[in-house]
Amino acid sequence: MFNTTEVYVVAHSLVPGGRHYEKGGLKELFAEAFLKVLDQVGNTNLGAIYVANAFSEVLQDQSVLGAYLADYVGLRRIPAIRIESGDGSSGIAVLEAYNMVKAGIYDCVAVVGVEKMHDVVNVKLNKALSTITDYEYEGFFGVTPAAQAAMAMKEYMIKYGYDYEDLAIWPIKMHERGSKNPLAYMKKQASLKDVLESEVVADPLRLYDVAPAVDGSAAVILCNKPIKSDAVIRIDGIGVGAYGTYLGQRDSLTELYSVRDATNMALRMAHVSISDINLAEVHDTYSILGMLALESMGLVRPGETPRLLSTGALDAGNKLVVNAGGGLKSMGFPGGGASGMYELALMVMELMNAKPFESLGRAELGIVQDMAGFDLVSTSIILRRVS
Amino acid sequence: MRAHILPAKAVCECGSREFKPYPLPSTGKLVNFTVLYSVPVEFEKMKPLVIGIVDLGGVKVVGQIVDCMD
Repeated sequence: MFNTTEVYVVAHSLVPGGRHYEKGGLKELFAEAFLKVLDQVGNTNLGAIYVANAFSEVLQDQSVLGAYLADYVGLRRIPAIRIESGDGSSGIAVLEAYNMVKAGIYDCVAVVGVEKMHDVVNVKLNKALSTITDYEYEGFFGVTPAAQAAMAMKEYMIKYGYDYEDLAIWPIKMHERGSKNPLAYMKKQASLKDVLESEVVADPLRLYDVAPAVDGSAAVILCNKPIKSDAVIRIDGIGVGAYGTYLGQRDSLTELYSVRDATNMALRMAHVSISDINLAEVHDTYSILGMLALESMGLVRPGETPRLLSTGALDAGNKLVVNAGGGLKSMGFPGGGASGMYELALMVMELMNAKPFESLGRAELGIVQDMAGFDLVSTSIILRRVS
Repeated sequence: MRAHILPAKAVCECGSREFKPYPLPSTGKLVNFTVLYSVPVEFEKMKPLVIGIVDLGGVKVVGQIVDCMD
């Protein structure tokens, strides 16, 4: 039988990144994002809650996270299913929630991404992040996602003939956007000098290339019907791709095959082509990964991202606007749990022309890209503003 | 068909489940590397780490580069 159920994003919330010691723990951070979306939909019956979180075992010593979070908000009889897929947990959680609504199993489902990164010191956080690599063959020997990104950056610079200064355009542009975004963690502009003088994290990757770790949460509610008639946002396509492998087995560090496949799947489902997309949110945990994502999705020709960014071709006012809110670079990186949900919540606001995106202009189609590790598992979500 | 595989797997992407241990050459070509300053907790006292990819005749190994002159 032909399934005609549509899936709408009927509510969204975002708790800006920070060192939220004053807010309490992971439960409080979850509740803040969740109750905001719950209050937007009134007494809608939620079938389930999908919780995107990557590191609660390591950072908070907590497993079966969903159950405790649901109980904390008075919903212990609602199944709260925790999804862990490293720093790409959000996209997979949205995919699972979407499937439940699309299949007619639930009318409405909440998706909440939450991660509290600052419950531990930096070196312990690095350890948690290194579990995203193949721990037996990479993480055990000191390999971290930053080291992987650094080698990809080096390969990109050699392949396309760029200097580090050329690639510094990513943090400069993201900080520029973040300086106009009250939801951003980094609200200040960055100059080329700031970027070049920042400390080296993993040569050639510098501090300004790394999305800063933050505590954060964000949520959406997906339903099979819109709850209002204006600025209705619908999920038209959702795709997942995989290229899970040890870095040494790869032929190229400059193409993200999982991103390409996820995007093609989403485009086919939405019956649109990549050139129809007006807005993109890409997962720039490291600036190089943001650039590679754009190119692997087919939004930008391979090797062209730094040039296009520096001419302003991807800024607001153009046919394609990339990371209008400043990306994870300026929003902060709320671990695996909430980074993709930050992107999704921002995209919903961008399409709705909600604060602070009133002046972005009316756009119809947006794409949200999330990825675990270096090209391990990726998702792409295509959102359409239908009214 | 013969291929050299690292890391070890139960099934090769080609479908084969038959593997034989194979001695890798003791020298290879460094194809990429980075100097990592922000390290996981176990490596705090050893930083910075040189992380590299070494091609050992068709099999690439990712790991720490140690005992090398700068």
